[in-house]
Amino acid sequence: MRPSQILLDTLLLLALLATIGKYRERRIRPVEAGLWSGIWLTGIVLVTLPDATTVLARVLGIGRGVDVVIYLSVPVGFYLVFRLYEKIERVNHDLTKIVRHLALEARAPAARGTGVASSREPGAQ
Amino acid sequence: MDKTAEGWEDAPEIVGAAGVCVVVPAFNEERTIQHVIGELREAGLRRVVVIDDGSQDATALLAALAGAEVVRHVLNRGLGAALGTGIHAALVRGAEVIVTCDADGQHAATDVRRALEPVMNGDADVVLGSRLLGAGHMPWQRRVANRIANVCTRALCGMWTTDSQSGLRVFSRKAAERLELECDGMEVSSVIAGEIARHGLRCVEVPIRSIYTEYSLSKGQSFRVGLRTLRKLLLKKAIGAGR
Repeated sequence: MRPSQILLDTLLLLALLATIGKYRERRIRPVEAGLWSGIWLTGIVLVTLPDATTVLARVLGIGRGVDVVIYLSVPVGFYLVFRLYEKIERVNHDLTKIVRHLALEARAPAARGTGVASSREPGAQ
Repeated sequence: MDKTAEGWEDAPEIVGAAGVCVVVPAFNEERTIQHVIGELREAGLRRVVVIDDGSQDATALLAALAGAEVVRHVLNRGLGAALGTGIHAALVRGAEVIVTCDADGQHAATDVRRALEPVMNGDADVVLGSRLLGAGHMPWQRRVANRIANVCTRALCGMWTTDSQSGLRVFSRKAAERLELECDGMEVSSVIAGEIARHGLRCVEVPIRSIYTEYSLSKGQSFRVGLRTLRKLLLKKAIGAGR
């Protein structure tokens, strides 16, 4: 085994252990834990057995094993970006709900009578 | 706002009695907000709710001094969020008819009153003010951008309007209660069109004039904002399809 393989395998193993740890602490859902564990395990297999990509490349009709990794990583990358965007949108929407709730429900005593429903003075940063 | 086109001597009786509430989303509009509220109130639209969307200037104070009720977002959340808050606030306050109106002074109070009529007469659930049907001098760049926005709105939200990005709209209470505006930004205009189509609401377009000033043009959607709006609509559609 080459030093680069040992280094990469170590990093991927640490990532796998971190994912398992997060799952045990219930910081990620089972589906997410499964997805990420699958990605790290696939990485470990491909780094440890680089010839496996060549076999896969032949099956898929792609020239080199490394090309298979690149081709597969593009759609996976797009998918992950999409999921990230979806999550940001959800957080944004939740933030708006909080801001709306504060605006509609919380009326500062100083604002009563002026019709200003906020505890913040106009012009404040 | 311009009130020279027609009088409104009967405005308080007609408009004030029917529980009409005007929602004005505003972000850093201290230059125009008092004028806009003053013209609306003078036209008989007494109940004005300004949604101050986290302004960092005196918009909220000036709006309150002009006689509007002010609801403040502690953070700037965007046009869609402000409209959502405003419509919710108007419904909670028992409004039977809800008008949305821009804060930059581009709508004439006479047009707001004319736009009210189909909903108040029971002929429509929603009225959209169309700047492209009315006599106006919309700059050609805006005209082109609006046409593109209309096509995108038709393709992505399922409804054709001649001015999908117009800020002047009128909703009956029934229509307003059905709106699900799950968006925060400028895409809300297209989303509203989609909601009208989705719920099969009776919608009519009313020609309105747009009063373009250097200020109102500077506050409008730029080409970059338009592209961002389109991207958000596309992703919203993709997320919706993936659920």
